[in-house]
Amino acid sequence: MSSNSSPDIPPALRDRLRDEDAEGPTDLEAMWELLGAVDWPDESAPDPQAEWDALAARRPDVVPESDGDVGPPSSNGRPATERPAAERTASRRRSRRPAASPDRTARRRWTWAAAAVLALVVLGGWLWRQPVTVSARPGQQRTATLPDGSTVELNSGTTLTYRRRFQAWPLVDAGRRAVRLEGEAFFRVEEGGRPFVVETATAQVTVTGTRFNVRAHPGPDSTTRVTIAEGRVEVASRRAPTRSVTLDRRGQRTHIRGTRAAPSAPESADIDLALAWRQDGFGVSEQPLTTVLRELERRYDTPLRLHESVRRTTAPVSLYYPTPTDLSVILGDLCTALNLNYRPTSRGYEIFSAPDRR
Amino acid sequence: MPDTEDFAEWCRRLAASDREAYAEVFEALYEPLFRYVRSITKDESAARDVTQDVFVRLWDVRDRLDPSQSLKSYLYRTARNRAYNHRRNRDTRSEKADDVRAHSNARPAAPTPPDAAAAGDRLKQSMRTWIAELPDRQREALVLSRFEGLSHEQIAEVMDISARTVNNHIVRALKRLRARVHDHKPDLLPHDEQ
Repeated sequence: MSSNSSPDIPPALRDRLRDEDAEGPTDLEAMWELLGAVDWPDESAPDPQAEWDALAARRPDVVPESDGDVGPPSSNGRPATERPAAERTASRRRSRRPAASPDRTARRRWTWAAAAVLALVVLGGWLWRQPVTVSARPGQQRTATLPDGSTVELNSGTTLTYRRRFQAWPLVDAGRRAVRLEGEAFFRVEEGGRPFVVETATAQVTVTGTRFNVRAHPGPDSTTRVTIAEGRVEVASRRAPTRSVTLDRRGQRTHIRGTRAAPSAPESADIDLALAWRQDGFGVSEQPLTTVLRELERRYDTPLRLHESVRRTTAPVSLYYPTPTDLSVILGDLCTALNLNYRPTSRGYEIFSAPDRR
Repeated sequence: MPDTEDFAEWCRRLAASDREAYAEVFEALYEPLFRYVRSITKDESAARDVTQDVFVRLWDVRDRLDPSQSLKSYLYRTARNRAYNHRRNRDTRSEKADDVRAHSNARPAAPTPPDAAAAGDRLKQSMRTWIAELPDRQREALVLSRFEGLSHEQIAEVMDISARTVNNHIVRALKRLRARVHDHKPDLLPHDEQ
């Protein structure tokens, strides 16, 4: 390496050159590098020692004539005047051009190498620590197998994340098998020494081996709903884990609204309706119309608009389709039940109030 | 080139009339300052006078230096002002000579075709010529940045322009040099796709 690698291109200049040509490293940047081949300066400079002496002659008040100690410091610490001029100049040249010094270049190269290795290790660790994400986009569903053999069925618009291999660090098992859920999923958890925990925005559901459904779409109400199909689960508030309930009978369910809220008392639910989505069916139990529409949008990946003619109502709606059903069929039933109409729009449907009194 | 902290330390020691610090600054910066001055005056003996003046002046103002400001920028700025003063004085004395230089659009002769060993030297020589031919401010900004290792902010202080303008000067200089290289040695740079 000679002087062509030093100095590095200033960041402001590099950014500017990249702007000049958005395609990537530019030939202007190459031009900058090429200039490194120029041995600047070309002409010989006057001997600094001679100049120092001249300065001393001109301004004895600045530089005392007995300059043995106060000459420009030489690189090996000996007074400059004791050495032959040629040697002095040579050593000074070296010390003044850091880039040309082999020692310093080698050291710098090693420093860079060490920094690069460290950066790789840190980057690798960081990448490894990135959670694994499994998701089902709106309109889609999927089943995933977790590192412990447990399986998860994801309903539309759902994201599940967990530590790689359920390990805290490579080869070090985390204390529990934790997954983070946004959306709705049905879990079939394999028995295992470590507890299996589903975390949502508001709740944590702890189990060992069982089958259950968790519904926790993010949003303003941020409610988590847990329904059990088999086995036993403990549902606790996310921030206040002592507030918990246990579900241990098929069809029992509970919900948590808000991060500090306690779970609701367990109640019986229609497990088939809660799990209809797993058969590509659709089921909602006593939900407001807007919630039902949001659910349908997610499930069928189709925008549904509520026309302003529709009176806002919180009257609960229940729908249950155990088998795959077209969205238009569901909308038709829904509108019939609520005395509304629907029409297709450019991308989805709009629901409007049927003109009454006519 | 010494670190910024060195310069701050030198400022403090100079303010205390520490002659050793003065000698160290001289040792570290005499050559780069001389080169810089000569690139402006284009005259070796004038450059020696100017550079020496810069150092004399440094001692005279040592107790007024502001350690929080860049000593390096201060020295380059002083050197620059004096070098340009010198050039102005000389130019008014010999206007005719200057006119010839300023109005000459002659390009340097293309280097003769490469013959292995000598080719590199010839390229360096051409490059030096091309750099010398850059407009003053472009050359200054480029040289201070590329060869003397000053930061954009330091160059801005020295040339009394904004860091943004420094960038512009350097970009223009690189473009000019690129054009020269394209004319004479197109294979040295990545080819344009167009």
